[in-house]
Amino acid sequence: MNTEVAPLKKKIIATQWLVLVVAAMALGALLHFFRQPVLIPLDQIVKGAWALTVDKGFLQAFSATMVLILGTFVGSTLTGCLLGMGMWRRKGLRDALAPLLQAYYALPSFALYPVFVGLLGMNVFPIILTGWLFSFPAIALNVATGLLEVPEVYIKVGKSLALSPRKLFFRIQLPASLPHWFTGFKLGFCYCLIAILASEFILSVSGVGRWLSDSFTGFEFQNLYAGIFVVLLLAAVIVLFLTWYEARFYRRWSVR
Amino acid sequence: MSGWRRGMRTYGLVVVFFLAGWQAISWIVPRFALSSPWETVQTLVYLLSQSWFHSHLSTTLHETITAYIFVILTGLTVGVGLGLSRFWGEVAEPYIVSIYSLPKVLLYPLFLIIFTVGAASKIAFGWFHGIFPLIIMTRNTVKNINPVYLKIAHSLHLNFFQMFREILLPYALPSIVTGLRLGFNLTLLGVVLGELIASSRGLGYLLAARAAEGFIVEEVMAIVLFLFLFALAINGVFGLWERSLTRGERAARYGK
Amino acid sequence: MPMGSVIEIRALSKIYPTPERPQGLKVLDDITFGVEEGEFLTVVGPSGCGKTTLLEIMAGLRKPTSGGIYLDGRMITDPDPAIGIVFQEESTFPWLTVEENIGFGLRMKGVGKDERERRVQEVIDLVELPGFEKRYPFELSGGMRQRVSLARTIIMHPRVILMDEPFGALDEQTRLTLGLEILRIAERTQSTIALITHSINEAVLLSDRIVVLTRRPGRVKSVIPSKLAKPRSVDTLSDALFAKLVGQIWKDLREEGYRERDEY
Repeated sequence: MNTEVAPLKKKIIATQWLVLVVAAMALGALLHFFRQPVLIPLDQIVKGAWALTVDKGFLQAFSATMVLILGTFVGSTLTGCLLGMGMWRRKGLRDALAPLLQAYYALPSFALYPVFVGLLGMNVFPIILTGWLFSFPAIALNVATGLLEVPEVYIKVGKSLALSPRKLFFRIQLPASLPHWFTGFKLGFCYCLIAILASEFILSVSGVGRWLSDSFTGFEFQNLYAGIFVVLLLAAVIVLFLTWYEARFYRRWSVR
Repeated sequence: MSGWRRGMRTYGLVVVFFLAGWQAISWIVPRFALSSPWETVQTLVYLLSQSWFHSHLSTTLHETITAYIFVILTGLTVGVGLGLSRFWGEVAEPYIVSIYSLPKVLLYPLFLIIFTVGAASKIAFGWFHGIFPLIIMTRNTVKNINPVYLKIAHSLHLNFFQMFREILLPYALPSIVTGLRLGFNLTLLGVVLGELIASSRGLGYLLAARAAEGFIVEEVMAIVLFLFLFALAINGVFGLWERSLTRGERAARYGK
Repeated sequence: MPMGSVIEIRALSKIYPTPERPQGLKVLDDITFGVEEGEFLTVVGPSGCGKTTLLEIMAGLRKPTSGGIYLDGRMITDPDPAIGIVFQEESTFPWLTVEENIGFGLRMKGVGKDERERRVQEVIDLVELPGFEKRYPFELSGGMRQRVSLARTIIMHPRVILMDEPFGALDEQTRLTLGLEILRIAERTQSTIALITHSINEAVLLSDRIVVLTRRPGRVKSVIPSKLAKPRSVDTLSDALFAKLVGQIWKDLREEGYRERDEY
């Protein structure tokens, strides 16, 4: 795990940066070639993005969205953990809900949008509802799976030390399943992010989604592209960070 | 097969539960906000008899199928390629992971600009959604193939196509089918979402139109119901295919 | 009952209920033997003869269908601090360091930090893992992890230590080395050990007495004392008595036939 592998890893990372640079150059060339009033050259987009970081309107919209995402995520986490632990404890609940939750992500739930808007109005509530609906099943499923997959032998160790059920849970079952909890939170957060940004964009009532939608309908293309760039870049960084941390987690926890 | 029957029973119970809840909510909530299950079904039956509905339906189907064909061709090729080449697979991984986890709807304006408001932008958008799960699942299964199998192919002097057909494909097929299923779901999602946001034809457009002008709730819900049932049916077919492929594995695991 | 028995197993039977048969699956049949103070006892038998079930019942993790386990004459039905157990599978907690793993039982009992550290250090020296206190299990080899599990059990000063095929996943050389080490540790701490294994060589090499179990349903076929010279070492493998004992056990097992009996 040293002199052989390291050069390969470096080569991979170097190639990744290279791909990024090549893609950026290709995109730049493409935009330059298809010179239209609506397409903006790449360097202008980046400049615009930089300018946005101090633009008051954008920052306001952005923070509103972040607050919404975090708030909804916290709600999802609470409900998801509760449901997950319920599914872990009660086999009946597990059998009833597991297939449903797994099919859940297959169905076009976004199609319920108009229904939510009809029920809750053209405001922030359908957005919160969508965000919550998208993220809590992933959390519940992962929490349940994590707790169920705690190796039997750890529990036997705990029992042989005559641990109380409470100690058994907090000292053994919880730490043993923690990587799965983290995966659940990561997925839940990502789904929440996606759902809320998408809803905001489609419904155009608040936050960054509305800011972007307004730019589009107002033909402010530099703002549009710059805004998309900033939001996507940030989302990508968050996702990559969470994925990297998750991999580290699993590596340490998986002894077998 | 008591487990299977039990599964069907809990599934049935969940459906009943859900319908009851839906009915209950439709009684509580004012009429314009939600229509009851029965009204929705009636409306759907009515819609299915209307030729104008047929034309919208066929637009969506046409766009979805076209996009899906592209998804299969590009997704499988890239997935297999990234799976067989460890180097390129690892180079591409962070890109694929991050793009997959982004709210791709934010990039829709770009699709509209490049492909103009027509079927092409929806097809491209649907394709953009659908390739990722297929690439990810295909790559994951191909890269995890037992290297012994490949060594056998080499020792038997098989050329690439023979190896692919006789060894790789049968091994990877179950996971690929799952990827095909997920790919279909997301392609449908992308297409309908594209129609929802900016189109003049298709089921997504109908949803947005019926929701915007005077909010004809029964039609909105009927269309949503149709999409759900359609997705459920397609997933069911894929599910049967998946099950028939893994029948041998499952028998080996439980048959003893 | 022999004097000086720490644990006695009396007429112990275990039947698992199964959907196919009304009378259930009998895995242990009328087991009676005792583990004497300070001895190294091995229970040997073919796979599926109920050895693990027996051990888990002795540890209080399972309940027998009939008969019982007696600790110093007192019947036990639940895990008891006087009985320690080392499992066959990987059981070190990956989220704790080596010293945290070893001190886990003490910490759960509320033992103070200073005393815990002192005792952990003692035991680490005993199982020869000095310097690895702050490491995590994933940084250790399989054999070292088993030593951590052993340390975690020893530190609680149990009257008897049960071990379920602790060398299961290890290679031949590590098995031998670790086995002899455990023997040495047992002698130094004057512990009583009951070890389960399917390896006859191991059984004869390490123990004072060997209990031979039959195929399922497991019955005590014989109890064979081993008077091999101490301290045991790799040289013991070439001892004439060693071969004789191994042969005797083989004979006992072969008498039982090659198929599991279908009687209940």
